[in-house]
Amino acid sequence: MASPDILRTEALRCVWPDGTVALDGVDLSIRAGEVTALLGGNGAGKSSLLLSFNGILKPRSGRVLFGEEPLDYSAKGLKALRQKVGIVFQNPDAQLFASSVYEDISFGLCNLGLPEPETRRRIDAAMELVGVAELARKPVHPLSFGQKKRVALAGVLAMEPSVLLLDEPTAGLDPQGADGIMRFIRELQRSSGMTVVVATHDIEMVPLFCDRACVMDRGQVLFEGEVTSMFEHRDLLRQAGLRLPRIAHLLEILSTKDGFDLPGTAMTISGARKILKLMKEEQEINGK
Amino acid sequence: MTLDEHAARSRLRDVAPGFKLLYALPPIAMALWANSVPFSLLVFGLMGASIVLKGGVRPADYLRWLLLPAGFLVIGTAAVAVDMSAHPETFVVSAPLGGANIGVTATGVAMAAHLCFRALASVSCLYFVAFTTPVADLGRSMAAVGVPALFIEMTLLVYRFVFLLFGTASEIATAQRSRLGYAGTAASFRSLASLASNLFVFSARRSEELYVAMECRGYDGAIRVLAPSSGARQPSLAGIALVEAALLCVAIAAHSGRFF
Repeated sequence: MASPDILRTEALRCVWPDGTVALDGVDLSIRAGEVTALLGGNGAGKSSLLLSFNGILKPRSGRVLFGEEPLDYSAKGLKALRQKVGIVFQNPDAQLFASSVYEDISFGLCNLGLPEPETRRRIDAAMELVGVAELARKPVHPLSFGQKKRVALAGVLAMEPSVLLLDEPTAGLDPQGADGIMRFIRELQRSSGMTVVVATHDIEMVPLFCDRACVMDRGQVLFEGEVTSMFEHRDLLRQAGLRLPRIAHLLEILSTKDGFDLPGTAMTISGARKILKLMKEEQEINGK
Repeated sequence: MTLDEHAARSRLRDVAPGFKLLYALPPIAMALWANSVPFSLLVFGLMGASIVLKGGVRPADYLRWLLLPAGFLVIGTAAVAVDMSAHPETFVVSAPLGGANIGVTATGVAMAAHLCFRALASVSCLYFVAFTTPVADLGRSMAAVGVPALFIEMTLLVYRFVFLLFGTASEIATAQRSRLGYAGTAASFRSLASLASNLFVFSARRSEELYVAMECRGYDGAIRVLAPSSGARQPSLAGIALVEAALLCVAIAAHSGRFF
């Protein structure tokens, strides 16, 4: 299923004020209604790419397109863009500033200039969605890290963007919390058709929750394609300071070093089970 | 438990903040003006009872919080009671010091007592506000009486970030202590200096991050937020007025000397 591209970069080159080249000729398309993972080690340019999708980081050369239109960097254009493209930062403490949860979630909506009843409806819906409704009147500082992350997410979701950019959504969460937030995002994308871009180096969750993957290294895109084809490009993953998911790595070692004749590859537990069951069936047939 | 948490859990939390201020602030003025120990005690008792019985704060918690200002008060007012004079007979207790005498006079003690109880009464009034009203609510009620928006924004931002700053400072201090950063005077000074300068860098970076994050949500120079819908209880204004009037009568009586 080929979806139209909602975000696109053309020969995008961005340089930080201190002279560091953040993005070095990035050509990348983000498909509408899919979850795309931006993979890369520290300093690969994932966060910079997210910031340039949101119009925060301006290109030195090249351009970013939203839909078919190049980004308009005027105040009015940026306001319109940021209504449609929301970003949740890695550190919720850098994003939450208001003195209560409810007020913080209301901030973006108030900036959109929506009427009050609509604003309240959206705040309640967003709090309900991420499960922080009972925290509404609490101040932000005594919340746990996971709660803060959810509140930060609610503040962006309330603006009802069509594209959601997430910078390291699972970093700093316990395994169940990380799974929970990714499952939630997957559910959101399936139910509302939202486009999601996740910058991460949590490689394990990519085959579980993402449709496409883009591997970055030193400001450049090494590989871009279906998550399932990531396995064939494992050298590029390693070049980017990443590795295959553990399950894929195990299957690779079993077939290359231990002489197992596996009928395929997999990156998830369910995928591996299928392969092993297939193998068992083949053995049973051969045995008889 | 911090004052902040007490306020968030208070049974009086949902009472509109304006009413709480109306209840607790006039008695401060009265206690300062009446300058009478029994009146100060009356205000102190009333506020204490309101905090404990109405607000639901445990008496032990309240007393523990009172120790903090009480310590300052005792030290501060003790200095008032002490006087210096050439005539030792004016003192209740005195000691010669060079050509003069230093000691405690009866009027000095009375003055110190008055001062101490007035301050205690005022503190208890402010505690009533602090124990029942979260800072965010207080900010909103400041807007209602016409305090400039910029001032309120600054107050609330400082409130939010003081906790972050404090958290970061204590993390850095712990890390320094674990590497013997505070073993010895010279090391302590060095560690404290680097702690302070690091905090400054941290604050600058944090403010930049926050600015970017706010821009992403459409910040255009004015912080606009919507407060949670006011399920605020409105107590009877007449009841509060009655209490205040009664207090005022006692204050006048106390001030004009008919009562003590």
